[in-house]
Amino acid sequence: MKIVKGAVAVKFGKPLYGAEALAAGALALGKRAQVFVGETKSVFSVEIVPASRLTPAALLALGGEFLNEALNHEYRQRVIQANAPLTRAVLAPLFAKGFPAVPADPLEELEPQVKADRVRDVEELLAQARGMK
Amino acid sequence: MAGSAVVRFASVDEQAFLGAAYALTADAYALVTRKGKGGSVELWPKRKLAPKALAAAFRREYANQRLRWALTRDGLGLRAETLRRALALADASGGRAEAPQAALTPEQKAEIAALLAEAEADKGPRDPLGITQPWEDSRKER
Repeated sequence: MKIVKGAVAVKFGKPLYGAEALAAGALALGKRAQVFVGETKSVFSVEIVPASRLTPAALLALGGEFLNEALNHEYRQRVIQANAPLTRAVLAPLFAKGFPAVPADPLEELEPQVKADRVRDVEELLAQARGMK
Repeated sequence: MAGSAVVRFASVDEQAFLGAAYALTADAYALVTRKGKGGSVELWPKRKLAPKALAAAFRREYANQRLRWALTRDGLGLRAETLRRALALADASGGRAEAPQAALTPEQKAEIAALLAEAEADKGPRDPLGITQPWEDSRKER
């Protein structure tokens, strides 16, 4: 973290910090600053420009708040990922109960060609959708 | 920038490393960097705190977090399975609390009251030799 011409410049290494972490940092600062982000393959370069002129100590605090918020976001994601088995244990039965398997279509059961045609149609539509920009 | 502390490790447990940096955010602003298996953290104190003290606090916290995360990972499967079984049991019982135990009948209550009254009235076994009497009491009587 460096103070350059009344703004704060920080480099965040990828993939440890993601774009969402930087967004969380910017959100924490709100209207107190503008945040500009540059990106290379391995680094995010962030410039934090305060809305009003600040002392070096206040700039450090502003940049530090951004750092801590970004770290908070990343660490929270790690904790959520690490606890995924517990989340699955709670949610899986709920989803299994709430969304029972769709019963087979009797038309497809009687005439296998209907199912084959539908699969082909869906694949064509998906291919069209993927080609759209 | 002057006044910051940098702590480097050749090999880090990322979750614990981030956890240690996060734990210090009450006292410092933290920026974590990874390089290969290694990692470093730069800490800027929020208040007047010597960088050396901050670095030492980070090392302590990292050791603590490594242990916490190791324990967390070890027991995670077991906790998930316990939770899954507990939920399955709750689901099997229809989510209702267990039925309360049957209440005592008036006859049973009367019998218990009579037994308690009898126990309170009983002054204990006879002790003509004063064996149960404390030594101090027997000295006073002389």
